[in-house]
Amino acid sequence: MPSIQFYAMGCQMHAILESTASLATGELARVPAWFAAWERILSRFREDSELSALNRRAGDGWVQVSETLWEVLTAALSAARRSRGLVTPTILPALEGAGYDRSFADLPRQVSDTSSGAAQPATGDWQKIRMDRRRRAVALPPAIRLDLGGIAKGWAADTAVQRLSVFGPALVDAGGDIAIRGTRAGGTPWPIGIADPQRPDEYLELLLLTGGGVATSGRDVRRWRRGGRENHHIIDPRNGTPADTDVLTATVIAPSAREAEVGAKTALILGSDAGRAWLATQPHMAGLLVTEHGRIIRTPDLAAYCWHEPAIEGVVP
Amino acid sequence: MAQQKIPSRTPAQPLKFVISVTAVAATLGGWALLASRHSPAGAAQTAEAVPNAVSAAPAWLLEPPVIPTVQPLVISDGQRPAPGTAGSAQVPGALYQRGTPAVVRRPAPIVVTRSSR
Repeated sequence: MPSIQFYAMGCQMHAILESTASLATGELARVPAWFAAWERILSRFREDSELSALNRRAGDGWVQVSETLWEVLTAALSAARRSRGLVTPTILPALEGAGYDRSFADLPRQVSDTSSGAAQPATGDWQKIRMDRRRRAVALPPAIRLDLGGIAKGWAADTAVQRLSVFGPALVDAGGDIAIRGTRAGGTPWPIGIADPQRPDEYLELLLLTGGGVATSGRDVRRWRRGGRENHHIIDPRNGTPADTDVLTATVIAPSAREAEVGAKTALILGSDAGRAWLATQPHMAGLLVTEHGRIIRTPDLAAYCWHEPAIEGVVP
Repeated sequence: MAQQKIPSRTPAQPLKFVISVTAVAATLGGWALLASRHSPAGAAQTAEAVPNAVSAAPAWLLEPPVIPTVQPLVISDGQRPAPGTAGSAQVPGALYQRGTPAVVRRPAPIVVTRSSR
């Protein structure tokens, strides 16, 4: 089965295409170039990225943007609207304030505390961003700067799998945000493990999916110490600081990888009780939460997507 | 609390005596009768007794049963399933045909979802 692995957007990527046609393998080989191009547009860590240029022009009026930045920003604002501001792209000042001011690979695990003031909430900031569809232009209010990290990976997985699926069933794993399209040969689903955050070599469930997306958001890996306190990269916009949550990782299945990413992040920020209740109101999502105490919470409909030990036939009571 | 004695209105004492004596006599008589019929001596005599005549078994009892109760299952080597291949048997109706099909084995995950690292 043709597949390709590469490093992009600060994560390990993996693309699989179930076709051996020469055109298909040629398209698969182009996937790393797609991601590299998207990273040049969407990365907040690159000074020369289009996103960084847009952030520098906050308060300067309308800025025409590329189709890629337009699409991802549209997806990010849609996520903010649907999560009532819990997953918003306007958290960049809060991320930098928490010490996450460079790529995680370059970030020391002990960050010096140089904060200049109290954290600022960012829940409603996204509503101040203006979008002009006709001119494909964006206007950021002063002091608002954007981070598209999670949603960009989900969007990239969805977009790549859509392109690959022209040639056959495909799966794209963008650092844990996974998009699937089409059943595998023989009509079988794609088996996808949900990693156990406390035993990384083991998995908690085996999903069997034929389409849509799955994503995991967590504070188990991307964390550092700052001012004697442990920080992580999931910002709660309600107070502008790393989310104070009992959830260690949240995994969500949804119709697309970007929706799954938004669902997982929302559930993690809300915490186990409110997160489970919120997921129950999302008919197109199923999820699994792992708390810091090792408790595993599954939404009732998760079982429909999981592999089960089959019952033994032929035993008549 | 003192019990109040109910005065007897009929002469029950003689009647009770007659019933008791009758019951004891009947019990003892029954025991004696049973002992005389099933005593060990009587049993030994029965075992050692030589029958006066032997009658032949009826013909219907010696014939093979009309309806077979257990039919041996004949399986040629070509049909015999290899060990450990549940679900691959070809003999209709054989019990081992109802094993777990091989396709429901737990597949290995192709990818794993985890938080960004």
